[in-house]
Amino acid sequence: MNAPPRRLTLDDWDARYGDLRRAGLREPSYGGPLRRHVADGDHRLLRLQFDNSAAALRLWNFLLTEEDRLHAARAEGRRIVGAMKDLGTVPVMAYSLPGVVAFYPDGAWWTPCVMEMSDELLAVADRMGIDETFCPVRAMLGAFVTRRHFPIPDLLVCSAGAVCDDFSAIAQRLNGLGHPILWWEAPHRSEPEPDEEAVPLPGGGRAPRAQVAFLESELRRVGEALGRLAGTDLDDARLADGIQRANGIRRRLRELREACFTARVAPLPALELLIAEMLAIHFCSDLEEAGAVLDDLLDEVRRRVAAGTGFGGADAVRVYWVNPVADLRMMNRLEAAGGRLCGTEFLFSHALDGIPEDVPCWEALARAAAADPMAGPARDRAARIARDAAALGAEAVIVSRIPGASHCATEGGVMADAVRAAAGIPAVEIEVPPLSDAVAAQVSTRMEALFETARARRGCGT
Amino acid sequence: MPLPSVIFASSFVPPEWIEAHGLRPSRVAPRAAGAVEREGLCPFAGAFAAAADGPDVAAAVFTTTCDQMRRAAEIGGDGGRAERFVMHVPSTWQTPAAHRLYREELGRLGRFLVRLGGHGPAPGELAACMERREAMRDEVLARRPRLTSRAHGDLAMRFHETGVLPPASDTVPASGGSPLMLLGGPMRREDLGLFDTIDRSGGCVAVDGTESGEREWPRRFDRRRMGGDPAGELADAYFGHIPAVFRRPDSGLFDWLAAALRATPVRGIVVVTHPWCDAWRAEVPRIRDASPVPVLALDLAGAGASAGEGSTRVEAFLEALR
Ligand code: SF4
Ligand code: SF4
Repeated sequence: MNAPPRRLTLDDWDARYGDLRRAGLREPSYGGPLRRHVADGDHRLLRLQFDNSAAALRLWNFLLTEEDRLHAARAEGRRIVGAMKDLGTVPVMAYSLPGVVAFYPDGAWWTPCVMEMSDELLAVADRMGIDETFCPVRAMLGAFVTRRHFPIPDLLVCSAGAVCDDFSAIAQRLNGLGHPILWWEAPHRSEPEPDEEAVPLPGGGRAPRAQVAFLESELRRVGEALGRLAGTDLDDARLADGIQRANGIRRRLRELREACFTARVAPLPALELLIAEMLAIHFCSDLEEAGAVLDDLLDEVRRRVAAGTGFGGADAVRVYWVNPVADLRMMNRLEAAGGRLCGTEFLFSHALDGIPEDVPCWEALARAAAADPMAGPARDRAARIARDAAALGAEAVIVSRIPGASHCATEGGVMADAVRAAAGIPAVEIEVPPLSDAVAAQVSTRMEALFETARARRGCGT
Repeated sequence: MPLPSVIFASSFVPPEWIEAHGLRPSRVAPRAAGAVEREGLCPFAGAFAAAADGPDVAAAVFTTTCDQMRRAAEIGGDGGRAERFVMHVPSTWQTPAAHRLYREELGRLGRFLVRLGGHGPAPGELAACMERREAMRDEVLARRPRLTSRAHGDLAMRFHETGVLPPASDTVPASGGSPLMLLGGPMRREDLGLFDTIDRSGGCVAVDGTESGEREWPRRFDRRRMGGDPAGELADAYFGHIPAVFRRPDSGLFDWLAAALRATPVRGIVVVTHPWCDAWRAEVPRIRDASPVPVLALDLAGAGASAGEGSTRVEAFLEALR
């Protein structure tokens, strides 16, 4: 069952799946061959290259069956929360309550890619005046209008304030279409004033205590609404337990990242690592199962690290990747161009950092929310990226520019400059559309040029 | 020697507050010429970022009223010439906590102004500034019927930038013509060409609902509350009442639209948006739905709204309204 690591096409996976079954593979209820998802419209799978492990199969199946899980939850009478924008905070509260499932409708971001535009979500958004000057999250609007994807949540909760314009405008549009939204304020994280009391944040930053206290009061307000939905209070004991369980997922992900980033040879392809990280934000609608999926992946990765096997060889250029990619295929392209991941920052580092367990639970969650890299200045985000990139031995940094995203107009430059200045690492910004095939050659050339520069610096002592 | 100014672009930064701290407030209409330009950057935010490094600027206040503006504070990085202050203006407004946060942000801005060389407001100083500014706002509105749209646009802009009004004799005959409402994002200096186009094409601006116009003025101050707690009254008049596009929810904007259309009948609405401005571009279809009169959506092109195609579209719109 434990074959040496190899990249597989979907066709290869058909054969591999048969082999695994014959070898006695036991799968969870959502298991099955990957190809069946193509019949559901996930055409991008036909063009991706996958990891060949049973753990990766489980990961993909878990990811691609999320909508089924949500519909099943609705059928079973569980309450569904649509958490929006904050990426990692509200679901911790929701999953602390019995009978509540939370997910991010924001995840429709990837649907145009995964379905290769066949579902026309972007076309629906276009018709509503939300055109390509907005980021791919506009697909979410299409998903709400067509109702062909996730069930419409019982409660929508959206952070406002220090958030991107794209999401804020689109969520407001949704609101205007008759979907009530509970808005909560995420303030811009400011530098503490001279003499102002500050508190440490997960991930190394700090924020004025008053701001964290404000966030705590906002989260308590959200918690009350969630409690009303669940028919029972979100009390301290429940939240503390929920934080512990969320931290279990975060811990596994940190272990997975560390194992992958520090191994001599990349034990897991970039694509599967990206997918795994996504589990941090809402656990793919099943917290316990997300843990089991990650445990399998961790086992596989540890095995490979111990055996010294993996992808791309030891001389692959170590790349720190910033921002999620609208087209999953870019992760394959990174490796085809001679790179490997040695660090990532996909906009939600605050969902990977452990939530403090040594301070009262509401304050702990507020601190985690305050650490959101998008809530503070780009230079804070850049500083952490530069620090991490240097610590992880990155040889190149790629900031993937998200088409239309309000933050990308300015922050890409700030971040690239910061890593160049602080760590002397070459950095480029590359725009990745939801389907990048038309620009594939150009993007690959830019990556290859970057990697060439990085290789040339080896041994120069720079 | 005049005090160096503290510049800002958002209507949620009360000039009275800066003035009462002994500094010179200037709500600028930045120039398109010389703006910072980047792919995806709102031209207004880029123009304001450039203005922040202008001469005689002691500090620039950026607000979180949109992500583009919040992030524009970092253009030039720490190397910006003038001090930069990012003020969090809450998007939510339905909770007491949001109002308190705005008030606290005013306090933080005040402390910044003191560090900049200003002073805390002396007793009665803030209230006096509030009275004076309010009287000038009244005067700006009162002069509209006697001025062309362009002349009135210039007057309002000058008032926001300098806090003074030229003598009333300095008037230009009103243009008359089909009354229009302007709605949408803020105007750069070059965008005032739009007013000329409207005047020339047989229209007039009867209501300025852009971010530079009277829609974003505070409500009238309550003299009694001003006496007891002027800062509280200031905060409420601004934060509690300006129906801005970034508020969540944004129902106040549409309430204002309905009320303004009832109070001042217009023949059409021109909605102006800057390229890459998600906040306003997403609202255009809703404004169309909510409007009982025809709506023209106009991109404020890089060089200003009066440029080429925009001008032709305004002329055609006004012709159709006749
Ligand atoms: S603009 Fe950026 S942060 Fe906002 S929804 Fe799009 S990708 Fe996410
Ligand atoms: S025009 Fe729009 S994007 Fe530009 S600063 Fe104003 S609200 Fe922000």
